[in-house]
Amino acid sequence: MNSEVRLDSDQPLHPVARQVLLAAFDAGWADPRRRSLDAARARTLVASAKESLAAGLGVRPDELFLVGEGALAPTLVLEGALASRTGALVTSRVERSEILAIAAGRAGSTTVPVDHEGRIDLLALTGALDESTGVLSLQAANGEVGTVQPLAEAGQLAANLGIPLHVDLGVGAGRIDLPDTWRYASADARTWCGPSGVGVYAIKTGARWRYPWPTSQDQREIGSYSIPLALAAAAALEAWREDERADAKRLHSLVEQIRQAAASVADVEVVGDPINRVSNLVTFSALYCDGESLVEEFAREGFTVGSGSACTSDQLQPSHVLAAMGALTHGNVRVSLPHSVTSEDIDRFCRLIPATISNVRKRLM
Amino acid sequence: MDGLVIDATGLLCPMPIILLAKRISEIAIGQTLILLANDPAAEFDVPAWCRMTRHTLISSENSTYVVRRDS
Repeated sequence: MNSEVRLDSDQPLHPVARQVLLAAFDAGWADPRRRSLDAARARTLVASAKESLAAGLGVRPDELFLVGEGALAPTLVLEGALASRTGALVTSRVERSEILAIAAGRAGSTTVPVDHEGRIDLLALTGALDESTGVLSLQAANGEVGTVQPLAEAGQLAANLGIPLHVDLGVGAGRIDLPDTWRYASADARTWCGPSGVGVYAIKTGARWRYPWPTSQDQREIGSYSIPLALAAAAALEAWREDERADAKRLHSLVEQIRQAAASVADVEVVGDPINRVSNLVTFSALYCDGESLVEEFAREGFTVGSGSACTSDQLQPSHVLAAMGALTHGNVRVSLPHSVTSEDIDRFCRLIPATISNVRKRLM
Repeated sequence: MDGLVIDATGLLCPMPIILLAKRISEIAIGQTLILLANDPAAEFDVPAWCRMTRHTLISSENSTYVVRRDS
């Protein structure tokens, strides 16, 4: 048995962030909203974390806010954008489920279809946007299949009608620039190997926004997030972006190697845009296999991978992303390469793909 | 309709698709079969299977799929 290689989006904390986190628990324990010296020091720490996060995400420090739950950032910033105006939400069918839930609850909202590679259909988007649209919300890149969305074009279509754009940075955080037309943005520190429990959102200077929950004062954030975690998230983003700058090309070609290895097996479909994608993600689906068995077979060989198939883990419904793309939803394997991955790891993984698929097929067929 | 009905009711993915693939050779090219499958994934996987293996999905409603053998 080889030691485990995690080819999964769930990755441990960046080692740099871990050091910062331990130091910050000594220095940043106080509530920055109070008036003590400790609180003043905590405020300084928050300011430096925000400055660093803002630089990494391409926004101004005073435009950036934090929430103590990563998955809450897109919901909070989008709900606040919608609360400040009338009108429906236009979004796409491959967004995270929280955004789709907001669309389902807002009258007149539309979810725009995507093409077979998961890219937003710009023609359908043009048809969906009109004077009754309140906000357009789109991901920068898809977290399951890696396809990068045409944000500049989509944002321009919205801007022409005076519609503000929310960009859910997702796996694009720290590597995809916000388009000029952005008004709201959100990200989760987990996507850059930061700690869990840090959501980041941004509201562009001058953009309308209203705190969407009951409150007695004019506020833009809940304010009770953990300062050590925020500092660790900032340190992780800086370190992770450096890794990505050095390594994105290498990961891109390792993913290409996996795509080719998977595509060479009969009745396997590699999903997502082959070129215009984030560097480290690849997804494929094998006919006549169940995702759970594939994940288990790879785990036995020392590789942790994910799956978007139903009957895998906790999901009864298959991935809505694969469904929207018209891709095969069963036998799905989702691979996410960490910067630490070696070409030997991927050579071995690629050699395992044909036998793993055929073993699962033999058992089922 | 040419008579072959595959009842995959109650079976989970990918079993309905496996039955479909195994039994489509029982009908001649150009003929159709009916697949009954109520697994939620079948809604997406029957069309994807037809596309990948070059057959045609004639209709799908109420967990009933009509598939024509094309190759």
